[in-house]
Amino acid sequence: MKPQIVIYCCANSSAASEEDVEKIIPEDQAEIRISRLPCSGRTDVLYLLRAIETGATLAMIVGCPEGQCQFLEGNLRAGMRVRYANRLLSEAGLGADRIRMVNIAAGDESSFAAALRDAFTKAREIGPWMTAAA
Amino acid sequence: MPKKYHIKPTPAAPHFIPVGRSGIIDFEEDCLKCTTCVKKRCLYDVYKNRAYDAQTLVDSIDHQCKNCFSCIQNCPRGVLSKTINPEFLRMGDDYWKPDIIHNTWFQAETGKIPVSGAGYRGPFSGPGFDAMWTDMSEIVRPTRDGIHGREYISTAIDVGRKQHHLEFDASGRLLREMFPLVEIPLPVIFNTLPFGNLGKGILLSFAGAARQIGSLMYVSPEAYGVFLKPFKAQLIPLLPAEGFNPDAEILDGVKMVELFYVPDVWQRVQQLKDRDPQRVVSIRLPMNSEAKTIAADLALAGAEVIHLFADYRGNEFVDGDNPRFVKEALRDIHTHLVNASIRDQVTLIVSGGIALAEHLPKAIICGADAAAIDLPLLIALECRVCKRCTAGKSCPVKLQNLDPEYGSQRVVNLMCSWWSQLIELMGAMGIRDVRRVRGEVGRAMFFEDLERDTFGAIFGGQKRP
Repeated sequence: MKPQIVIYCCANSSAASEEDVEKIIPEDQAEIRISRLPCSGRTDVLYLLRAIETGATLAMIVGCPEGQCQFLEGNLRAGMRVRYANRLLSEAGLGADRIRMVNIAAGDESSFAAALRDAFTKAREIGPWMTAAA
Repeated sequence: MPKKYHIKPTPAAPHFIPVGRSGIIDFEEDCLKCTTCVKKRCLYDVYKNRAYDAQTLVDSIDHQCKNCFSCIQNCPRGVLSKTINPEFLRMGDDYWKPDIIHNTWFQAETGKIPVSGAGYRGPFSGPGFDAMWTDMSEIVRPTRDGIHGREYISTAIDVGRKQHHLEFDASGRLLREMFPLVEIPLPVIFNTLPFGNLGKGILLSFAGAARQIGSLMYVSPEAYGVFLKPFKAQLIPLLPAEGFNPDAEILDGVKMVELFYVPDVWQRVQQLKDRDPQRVVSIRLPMNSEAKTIAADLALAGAEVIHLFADYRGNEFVDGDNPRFVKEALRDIHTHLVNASIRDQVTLIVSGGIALAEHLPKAIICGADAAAIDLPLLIALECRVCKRCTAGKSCPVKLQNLDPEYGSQRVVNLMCSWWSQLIELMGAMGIRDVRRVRGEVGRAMFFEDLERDTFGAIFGGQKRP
């Protein structure tokens, strides 16, 4: 079963397209969906939990490096929400590593590719939560 | 007096949350939990009705927000800020812009004219149809009130060839034979889609809508199936250049047929006319540098209808970097036919780049009798012009599973809005018949002409005469 990865990507950070992602992880290996947001601080805990609830193996938020957020602290708040969402998942018995936050500067494609490969490896390792919970 | 033509809209809410323009950012950690929460006071209840679709990754707040900024300004802690949704900006392409898609969704949902309450703050001119302004002539002539029903503004046209003049014998009998005509109550025909034809649900939606508004739709033989048989009166079979068959089953019972232009097209027209002289035969001609001459030759030879088509972004098919936009190419062809004294006899249909309601009267002013539209119909069915289907990928709004009844209603709503805008414009112009709008370039201003006339002598490298 292909791992499903949902990426919430700040448009001011590494705003990758579907084509960019397919070059890094081919379509036949993973199902990757991207949602571009005006700021990583737009990410709601609800977004993350609903993504996992509807079958995503792993969710990743891509935000700007610290100190470079156009909304001043959106990336910091996104980090806090990731920790909170992971705590909720952990309490539900799904582990605390299904949601992650990475900070990547605009145009840093190599870091984005490395982060995505890392997330893909992790997603394959942990597998879908429905199976894990069963 | 004949019964008034009317399109009745019925609200058809989208099945998928539309991608909205707004992007609200909520730093909810700073919330004081005060009793004057701006989220509860939202006039449109966007926070209360907030929903998130985890499959399409779309938040309803972006679409429902009306940009009143009440929540942004009144929160005591200023936890909310607002920007533009990057997913919205990525929709479509540089011709089918996000605003066009969003406008079309609104019209397909409500059937109402989109109104911008905050005024227009955009540029006064742009490429394509935006460089053309219709002249609201109510300053110099009385307006016509078609919208509220006090006067009747006709939007009907006759598709087919018309006699140059009539001749009668001494007893008053008509000596000339009249050509067959197909009357449509709205100068809009549903064209075949440039992409996104994902199954029979879409075709049935278009056919159902065409029947409801009394219009016609093109269908290619490969897309035709028995499911479209009940809609034969609405169909215009589009016969391909290769493998022409004048006896194809698809031709039985249709009022009009269309052929792709080939050098020996006239023989094919004759074959079709021999089989059924009452069937209107149209010729689909690509807009290119030769279209003007070919159109004039066809019209002089007796063509009934010529369908001039540009690509889906409204550019003519020429080699090189500077193809003319459909409006310039159409004006050129129309003027050429007028100069050849043949324009009134032939019907011109134009397609390609007709994206908004205002493009319809603009195309008619440039010389078309009717417009064939394609992508606006697909957008009405919630298409996001992501073009994933062109790469064989899945449709984000699952158009392959479209319910035809729902699809028809969305298209009817869109047409209702376009029809309202057409009669609104004609009312302001003081014109009561859409056939009179054709070629009325005196009722429009063209930015290029104005610029040339005003600044050409100074900046155009030409000496003042």
